[in-house]
Amino acid sequence: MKYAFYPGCAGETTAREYNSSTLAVCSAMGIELVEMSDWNCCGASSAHSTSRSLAHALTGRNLAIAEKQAMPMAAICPACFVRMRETCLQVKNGSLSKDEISSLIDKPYTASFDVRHILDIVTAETEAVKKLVVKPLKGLRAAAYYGCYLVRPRELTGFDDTENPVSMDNLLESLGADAADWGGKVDCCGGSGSFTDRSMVKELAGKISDSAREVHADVIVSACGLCQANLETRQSGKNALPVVYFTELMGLAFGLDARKWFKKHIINPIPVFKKRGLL
Amino acid sequence: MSTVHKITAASASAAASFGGSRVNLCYQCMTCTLGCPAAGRMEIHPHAIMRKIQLGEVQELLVSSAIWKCLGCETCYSRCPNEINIPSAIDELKHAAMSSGKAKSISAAFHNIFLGGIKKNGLLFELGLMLRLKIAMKDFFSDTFLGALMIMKGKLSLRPHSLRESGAMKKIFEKSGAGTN
Ligand code: SF4
Ligand code: SF4
Repeated sequence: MKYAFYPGCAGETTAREYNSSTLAVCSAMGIELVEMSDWNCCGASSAHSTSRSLAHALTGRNLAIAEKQAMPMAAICPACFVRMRETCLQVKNGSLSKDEISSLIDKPYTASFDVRHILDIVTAETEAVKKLVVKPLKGLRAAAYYGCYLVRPRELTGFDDTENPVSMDNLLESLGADAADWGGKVDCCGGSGSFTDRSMVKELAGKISDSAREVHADVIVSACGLCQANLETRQSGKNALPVVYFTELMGLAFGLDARKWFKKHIINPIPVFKKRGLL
Repeated sequence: MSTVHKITAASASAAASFGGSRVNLCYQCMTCTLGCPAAGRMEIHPHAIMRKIQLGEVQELLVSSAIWKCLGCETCYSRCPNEINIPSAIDELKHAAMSSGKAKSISAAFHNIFLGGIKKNGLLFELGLMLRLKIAMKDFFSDTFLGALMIMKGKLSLRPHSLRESGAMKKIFEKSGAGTN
């Protein structure tokens, strides 16, 4: 299957290792990700907080570019994913007309293709994943963290359960890891306030890392560049818990060179993997 | 003596479509507030925001800091027994506060700076955003170590990117009537 790949702003900078590990594991699975040409920022919560037309126009331009490539869009950032999907669904159900969006962006757009998150794409192919595992992540206790925008709001994301999602847990188990049952799965890390309300973000990120420590997790596993950066840099100081991407763990289990991704982290995860005999 | 608040026909019909959600259905069960990660920092809690919308007391909400504390996490919406889209109603308040110039919050300033950058470059230029925000907040020393570490790890680019389709962003901003600097 071919997808128009939208890396998003963080995928180019702070979440570089998420981007490159995604490309590597998808290529191993035979999922073709074609980077979109000349994409722009989705506008994130800033456009959403400012004006509905602006929010739809910024996502709409990207959607039109993917549509021109005649492929569904695949995004790695859950926030970009949910914003794009919102515009796509509104055009599909007619609450935003094709003419209106096309005139805002000066490009035709008819919502003919879907928008999917990469976690959804890979977890739909568990058998293909299992076949590629050459180094099972035995002994690694992993806390799957979904955050907000993969599962909420339900009618937009169309993915898993809003309170107790399990798709990433199942993926981790098929990689051979031990997925911890824990209470922080869908708690908000405060990401959208990371620049403006540091004390709130510290409190929220601190609570999430504390719950993961309570169940003796070795790592928190994330599917979002913003959450990952937030949890890595804002969690409480003692016994810092590494936060890795699910795609990095897939790469490690597939026998790919995961060390180069791990080196990019602010909290170095390499010692944990060494302790478990995985590196 | 406390003031008596009443729902009028006008306030009820405004609440019925506020932010594309049916705020008129709220029966004050407080499920939204109990699960809200930001409620502890809001001077008016999410359920009380819904009540004020029902009562037509929107002006008070526009100058509140509570609406800017909302993280848009959608927890309340996914739990509300009446399926009221609370964050969408709060977004509507933010839009009105922004366009009337009533927004008194560093978050509103942040959104303006963020979007100003997107209008110019098409993509987020983190370093530029951080520096402009530091100036706006007069906060020059926090996180400088973190920023330096990110640059060392090749995680922050030092130069902004620009789109090949030049002028595309400017046009989009103009057409959607979003006036950022
Ligand atoms: S959960 Fe829904 S019905 Fe209950 S107080 Fe909040 S908005 Fe009102
Ligand atoms: S969306 Fe806003 S109001 Fe609702 S739970 Fe999250 S922070 Fe609270």
